[in-house]
Amino acid sequence: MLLPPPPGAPRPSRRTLLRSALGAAALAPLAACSVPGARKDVPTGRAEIAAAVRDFWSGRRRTGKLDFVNYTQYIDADPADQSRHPTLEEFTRRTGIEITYQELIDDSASWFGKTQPLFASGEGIGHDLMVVGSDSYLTKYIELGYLAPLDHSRLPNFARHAGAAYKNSSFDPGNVYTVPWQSGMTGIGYDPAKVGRKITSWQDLRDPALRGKVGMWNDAVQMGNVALLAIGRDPETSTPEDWRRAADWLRGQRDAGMVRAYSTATYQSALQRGDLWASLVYSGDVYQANRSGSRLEFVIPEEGGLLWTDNLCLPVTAAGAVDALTYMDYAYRPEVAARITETVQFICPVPAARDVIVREAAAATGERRAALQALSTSPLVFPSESDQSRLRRMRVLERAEEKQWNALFEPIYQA
Amino acid sequence: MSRPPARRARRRPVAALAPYLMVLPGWLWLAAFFVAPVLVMLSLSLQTGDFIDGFRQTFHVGTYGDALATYHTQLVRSLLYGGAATVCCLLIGYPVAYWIAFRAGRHKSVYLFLLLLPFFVSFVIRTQSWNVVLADNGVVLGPLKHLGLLPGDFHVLATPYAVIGGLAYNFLPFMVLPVYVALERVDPRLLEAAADLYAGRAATFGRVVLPLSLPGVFAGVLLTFVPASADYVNAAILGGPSTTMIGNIIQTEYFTNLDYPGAAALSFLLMGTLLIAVFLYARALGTEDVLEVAAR
Repeated sequence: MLLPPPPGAPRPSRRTLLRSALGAAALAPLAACSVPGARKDVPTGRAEIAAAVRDFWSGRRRTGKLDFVNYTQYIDADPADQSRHPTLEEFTRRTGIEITYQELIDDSASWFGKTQPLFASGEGIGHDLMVVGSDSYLTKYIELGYLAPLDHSRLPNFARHAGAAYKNSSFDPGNVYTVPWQSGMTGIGYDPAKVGRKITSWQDLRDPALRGKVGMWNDAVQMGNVALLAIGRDPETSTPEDWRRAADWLRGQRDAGMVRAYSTATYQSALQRGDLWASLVYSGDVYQANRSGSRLEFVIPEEGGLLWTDNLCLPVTAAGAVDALTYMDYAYRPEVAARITETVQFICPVPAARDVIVREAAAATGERRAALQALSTSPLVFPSESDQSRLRRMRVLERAEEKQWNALFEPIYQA
Repeated sequence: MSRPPARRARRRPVAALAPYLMVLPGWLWLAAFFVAPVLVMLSLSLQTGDFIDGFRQTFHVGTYGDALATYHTQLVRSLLYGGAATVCCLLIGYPVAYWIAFRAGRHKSVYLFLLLLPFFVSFVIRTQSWNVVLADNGVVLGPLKHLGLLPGDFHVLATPYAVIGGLAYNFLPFMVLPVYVALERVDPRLLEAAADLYAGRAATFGRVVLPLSLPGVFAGVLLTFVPASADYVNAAILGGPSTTMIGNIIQTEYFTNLDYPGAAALSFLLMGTLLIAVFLYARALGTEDVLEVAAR
């Protein structure tokens, strides 16, 4: 119920007051508020980085507490109780460091959106260790100075056990800020029963027989890199001219009515249901779908597939930085890496983990033995040499390039 | 308004201010959580720069022109989808509201609760479940195709119909509830009076019930059309290659491209278009009266 205006209230003066107040309020912020830049000076060159490492780590002590934030279902889990993570419990037993483990990250974009204001205000995100994909957001975290430089003298297991393909990547040369957590491939997933033949090439996603049954993504980074592979270019050395041709390839696919939907949200279930016959997929998707009864196949197309890496990194605001670094090193022990791989089934950055799994398979019996054997020979988890040679890294984009890139690839899936 | 003027004059200033003080929290709330953010976004939409180096106020109106030139297709499409979903909601929702108001007897609250029940499930999950229901060979289309009633490659998902259907489904209660409230307030004696005056069922509905329910319809249309046009979940989950709505674009501009001015400009363009559409609708309906009735 609205109250009646009090009789005799001086209407005009109230209105003028309100108007002038609103006017002032409207103009002041319009003119005044700008959004300050977020850039910080980031050390470059070996000496500067070494100094930054010294600056950051001097005087830091173990706190006995570690707050680890990850994507969902991205670590080993006790089959009997999914909320228990044996490798984390073992870490606590060995080191006495208590772990708070949370799976709060859904995707890079929203996680960046949530954390960026906290970093910018200097307040910190309250986590000591987080997982970030090798996409443009990692570059932004680094550029903005939100990540702590790693003290590699305290990461002996990383130095000893990390596979060569997972060290010194173009998105973080010298592993100054990150070490890989898990890697995976982007290729084609398809249902052989529906397609009726083997898919071997990206060009098969333009085969008229699959019209309206192909799934692509609303993700400019993945789409652009995949299309570069499809036109026979290595994304890392591609030129803007190549990007234009790659965008043309995607547009041709689109205009021929090949694509049913551009959606990262629904391709997995659509492929399982048979609404899609072939789709862009992550290697782990096919494994998971087949575990729940599908008969899909994953293929690294002959022109090449994409290799991406999710990384462990430390926010500069981490209170338990030493504890986090201790965990990072622990995760590179082959037995620990093997345990995690057993659950998550992505590409393990520790080749020696395979030997551990082979040994365990020999010692195990029955179903577990079969599972471990399948794991140790799975091309999705331990890709063969020839598969490895067909994998390409994604293009790391400069800021100006990113604009150009997005302007080329976004309109394709946002028509 | 029948109060004697003498008493009015004797009221103390504090008492005169009381009504204002009572609405003050409401005004402060609006100022802090509506006016201020809108002004900040308006300011942002006129800035230039980028995320890393910062955005500076340059009163660059060009952003609006660029945004409109690039994305007018999606903007118009959003209004069309929102409008179509609203019409669907009205066609489905009015009879439902009518039935609950006049025919449901003492079980009214049960039916209203059933209407709201899906809302206890997350919006995204609700929408996602249509993907299962409407799958190409799922529970609905599968049997129909099996019987030869539909061609084998027929599909609903990944089409504009799926998106409009999803919107209509998700916003249906926003139409039903206001219409129900309006119908519920129709005095039964008016219906009796109409019957006494030899009005048939159709005439009673057309000349008594319908006009009295128009304020509810107006509110329902607003509550459905505005959020449905701005929605981005349905297009993302149920849509195909050419069903992108303006909400999806704003999301990409803001979260993926970190182009805050572009996203803010698009938001204002959407707001402006919606306001114009709503205004035209109000004019067409002669809503001076409608709003008055609604405020009663």
